[in-house]
Amino acid sequence: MSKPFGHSIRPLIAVLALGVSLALPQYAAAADYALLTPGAAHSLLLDIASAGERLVAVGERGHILYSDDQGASWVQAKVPTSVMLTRLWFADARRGWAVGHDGNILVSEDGGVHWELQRDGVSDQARINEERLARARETVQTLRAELAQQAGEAAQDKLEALEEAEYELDVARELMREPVFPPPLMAVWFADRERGWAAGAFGTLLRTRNGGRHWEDWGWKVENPDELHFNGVTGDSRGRIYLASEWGYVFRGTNGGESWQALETGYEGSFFGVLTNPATDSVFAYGLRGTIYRSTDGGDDWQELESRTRASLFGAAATEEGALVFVGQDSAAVLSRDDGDSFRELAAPGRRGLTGVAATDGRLFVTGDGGSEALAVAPRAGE
Amino acid sequence: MLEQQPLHYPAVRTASVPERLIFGARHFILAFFTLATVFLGWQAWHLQPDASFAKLLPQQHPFIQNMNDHMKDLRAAGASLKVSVAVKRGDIFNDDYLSTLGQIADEIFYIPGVNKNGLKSLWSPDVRWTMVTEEGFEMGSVIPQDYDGSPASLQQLRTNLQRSGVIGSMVADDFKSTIIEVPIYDTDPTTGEQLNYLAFSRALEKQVRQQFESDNIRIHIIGFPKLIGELLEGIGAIFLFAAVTLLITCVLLYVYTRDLRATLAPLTCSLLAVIWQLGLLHLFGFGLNAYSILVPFLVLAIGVSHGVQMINAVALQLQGEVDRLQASRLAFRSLYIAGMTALISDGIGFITLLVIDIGVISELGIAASIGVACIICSNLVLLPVLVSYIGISKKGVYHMRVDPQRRHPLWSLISRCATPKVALVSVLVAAAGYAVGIAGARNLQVGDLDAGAPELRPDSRYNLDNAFITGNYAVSTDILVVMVETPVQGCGLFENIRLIDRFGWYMENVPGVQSAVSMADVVRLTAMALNEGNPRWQTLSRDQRAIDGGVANVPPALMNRDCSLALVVLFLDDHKAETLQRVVDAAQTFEEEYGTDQVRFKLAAGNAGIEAATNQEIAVAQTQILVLVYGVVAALVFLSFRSSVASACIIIPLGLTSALCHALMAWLGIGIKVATLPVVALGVGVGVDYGIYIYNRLTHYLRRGLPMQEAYYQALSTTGRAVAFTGFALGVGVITWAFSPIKFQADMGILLTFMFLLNMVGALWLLPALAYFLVKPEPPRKRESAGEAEQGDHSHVQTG
Repeated sequence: MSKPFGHSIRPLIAVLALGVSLALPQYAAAADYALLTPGAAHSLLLDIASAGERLVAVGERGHILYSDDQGASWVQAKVPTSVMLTRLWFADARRGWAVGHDGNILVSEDGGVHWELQRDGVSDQARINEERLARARETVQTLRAELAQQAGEAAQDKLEALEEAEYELDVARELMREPVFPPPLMAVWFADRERGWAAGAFGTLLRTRNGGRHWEDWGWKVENPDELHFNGVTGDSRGRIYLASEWGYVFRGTNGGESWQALETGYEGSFFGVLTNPATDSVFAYGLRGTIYRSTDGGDDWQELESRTRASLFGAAATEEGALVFVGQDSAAVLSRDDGDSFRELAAPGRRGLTGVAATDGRLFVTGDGGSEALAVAPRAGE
Repeated sequence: MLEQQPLHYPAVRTASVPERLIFGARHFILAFFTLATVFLGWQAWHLQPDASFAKLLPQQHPFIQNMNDHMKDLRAAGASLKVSVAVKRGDIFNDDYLSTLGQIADEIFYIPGVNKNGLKSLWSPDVRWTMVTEEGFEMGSVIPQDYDGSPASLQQLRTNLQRSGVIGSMVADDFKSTIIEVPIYDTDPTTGEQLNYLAFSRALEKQVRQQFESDNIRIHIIGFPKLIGELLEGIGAIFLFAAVTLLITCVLLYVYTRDLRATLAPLTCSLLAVIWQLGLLHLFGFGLNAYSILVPFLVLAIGVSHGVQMINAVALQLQGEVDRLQASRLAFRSLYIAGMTALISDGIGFITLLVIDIGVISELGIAASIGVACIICSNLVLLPVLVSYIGISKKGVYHMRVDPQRRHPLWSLISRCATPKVALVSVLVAAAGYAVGIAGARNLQVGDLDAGAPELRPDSRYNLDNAFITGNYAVSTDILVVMVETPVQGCGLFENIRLIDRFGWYMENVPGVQSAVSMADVVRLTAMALNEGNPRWQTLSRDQRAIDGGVANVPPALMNRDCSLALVVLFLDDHKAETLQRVVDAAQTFEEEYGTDQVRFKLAAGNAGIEAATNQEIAVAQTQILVLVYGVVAALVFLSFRSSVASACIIIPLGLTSALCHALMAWLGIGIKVATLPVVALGVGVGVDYGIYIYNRLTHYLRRGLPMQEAYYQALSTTGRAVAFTGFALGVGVITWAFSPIKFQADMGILLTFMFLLNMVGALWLLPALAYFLVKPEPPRKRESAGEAEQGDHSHVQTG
């Protein structure tokens, strides 16, 4: 009896649901959708990448825009978050990720037109906080149990370890009492379509091995007692992962990210990003006041480069051929074709802050406050 | 005594009560009015200019009420002045310019009313540059501490400016001018005294503009206090207009009467009405504002035109075998009903202005109504009494006579309007005129349409300065402020400030909004600054502590002390009604969509917010006024003539003028605004006079059995001159306003002149045509009473 009834009513419900969803303004849906506004194309955009022929840019207020005509016109994608998106990465022409504040991660499977919330940072952070509490409890219990069986000098070491573990437990408990604060994600990088990393403030590090269907909390594996920000992430051809951090530190992960090492570059300030040259495997950490450091040996030794700018650098890109572009404050844009030995300034119009750069087909596209535009000088132009 | 002597005149037996009262106590009346003049003249002497801003606002409008609710916090934002010092040759990077700038800032510092602590120029130590370094922030004043005017320190200034963020706000993009920001106390913080805007504005002109402007330095000053000063300055020009108007009226009167006595008597009576009106205004506790200062002109014009009717009537009587007193009595008798009707309809027309919830307009209505009451006393009572003493010279009587033997060529011509063919054409032309008026009025807009300060002319110094500053700096002077109410200490809570931020972005995307500024912007920028200028932090963190740090930097112009009110300041492209309505609608949509019990978005403050409220009020009031004025005037006409035909004949020409006036406004680009609202009431209230006088005479002669054209000719020959004179007298009274430096006074002058003159034409041309079709021929039995009617016209008008 019920079956025919069910058949007849289902399309009706579908039609009703469709009607309701059409009647509602697009931003009133359950998810925190970004407002679709004509001004999005001229808002603060923070990163740009190419997905095949298409350009995709992310920015403040959950803005994601794409252009199929080399930046001449931009379409705002419907995005199920309205927080600031800081960086994006495309593994190929179709699959890409955007990360941002609230620890949110979005994924697109069609080259940036449609986006899904892959990681809801607030709820995931609540889970991470619980895990952290559980881990701290376990450590304390283990240490107490061990301490009960030991005495003497070994016990003294254990006692100190226990004190530390108890402090960590207090911190973890405190976190559970406060409103959940997922630190903002500042960078994302994928080795291929499945294996990737997302890094962020206060030592946040996330790892996925299945295209982001599951993001594991990985920050606790990195020895980072001061909770320095991870402002950039990249990897080289030999499987090493690099995190750009503060106080001149670059963190290097080896063995698939199982072991981590803090590298001192000799710099004292902050790096805002890190880049590898696909042609040479050199690593470049860039940041405050035009600073660029290079390592040609996988992070062991670093040299400061003459970037020819004193503006803070916030974005960088490398072409397959090994041309490197760095952009930043006050329309700063510098280019190197010799793996960083020398730089020359590119003419960028205006005096706005630049945040990201993408190189496609010999043209450069930058993002910044006021949207996205093509950079006047092509990297292949005569030296 | 005097009353006894002329008993043999038959007229005295038929005298009405008012006539007996007035002419029975002529001495008393003279004495009474002399005393009244002394007393009210003394009152008028103490009349103060009233620059009250509150009276310009529709106080009952929800926007204004919201604004008043938060006035204390809004006032903290304060009034301010921008003084731009521009250099013609070269740029600002030279020692001469910078030292002049310093001198100007020093000079402004000492002008009373300036908030000395807030004064900001390039020289202020708190105009700083900042730079993020590895060690933290590096900062300093933009003009280096060791500035010595050398090329090196000028170069240092240039570098510092690039790092300072004041380019576009304090320094023009082309480096050819800089702005001195001058916050103003509108009430003195120690004495609580209201700032004298006029003195303040003059001090600026004298001590700043005159002293420092040279062939290389130009000074531009804008800001609310300066605007008020300019308006008060402009009001002063009205005294010149008053003199001109008086002179022209005098000439007109003399041309009309050719007699000094007949010129001075109505002029004196009308001036007395003006003095009484001003005295009564002060007595009732009013001041003179930019609108009500126009009322004396109207009173003078209306007074003179009614006075001329009276003089005309007396002169006509003096042609017969009567003395001055008798002539005055007969003139009074023939005119007082029509005169009262006309004046009372004027007064009631003005009283309708009280329905408009804008102080200055209500006061205009009150002042004008008082004025009309004064005219009734001066020109219907005092004037005939006065004339009964002084009389009119033979020359004057001869000039104003009606010679039954000679046909007046002009009146013969105009009387053809009452012939069938001309009447038909006239009615068709009138119908076409209505069509033109209604079609033209469809382009009519609400609100002020010109850029800059709409109160002043587009080419006024203030508006040129305004154009310079808005053109060279990233500032808009059309500002709409949305008040965001939250619980106490709630404006900075993450969810609330996020909504405020979203509102700002939502509004920035509304066409017509250039930019939106709120506390959320300050918090976002602080977050970026505290994170080494990294733009990836330029957002609102979910971490409440990070937000609180930013909230500490929010200036009082964007947030009140206990964080229960945030202000979102919207800078608009212009203040067209369309733009304002779009912005207001968008804000209300957002409030309905997202407003919570915690966060409510309340419209509206700022000059554009006030204008939006005013526009909404005006759009409603415009219709109300039309309906009321016409309803009241039609009812009055009906009551006095007991005839719907009379109402039609008198009202239809008025309606034509109103319709055409709307078309004229659309054509001239004058929007419906505060200043044009009273025009309808004044135009119709005063314009109805012509119709009443002409219709009165016309039916008088029709009753005597004359055919239409002849009756109209007779009507014209007795009252036509007076009607034409009235038209010109009224026109003269208001046309001088057209030269006012205050734009809305000029608009009112143009429109009222148009209405007064066109109403006269309508009465002379269209009224007889309508009468031809509408008035039925009188039955012959009326002839019997014609003899009596000849004594005085009031017999056919309801005497009550």
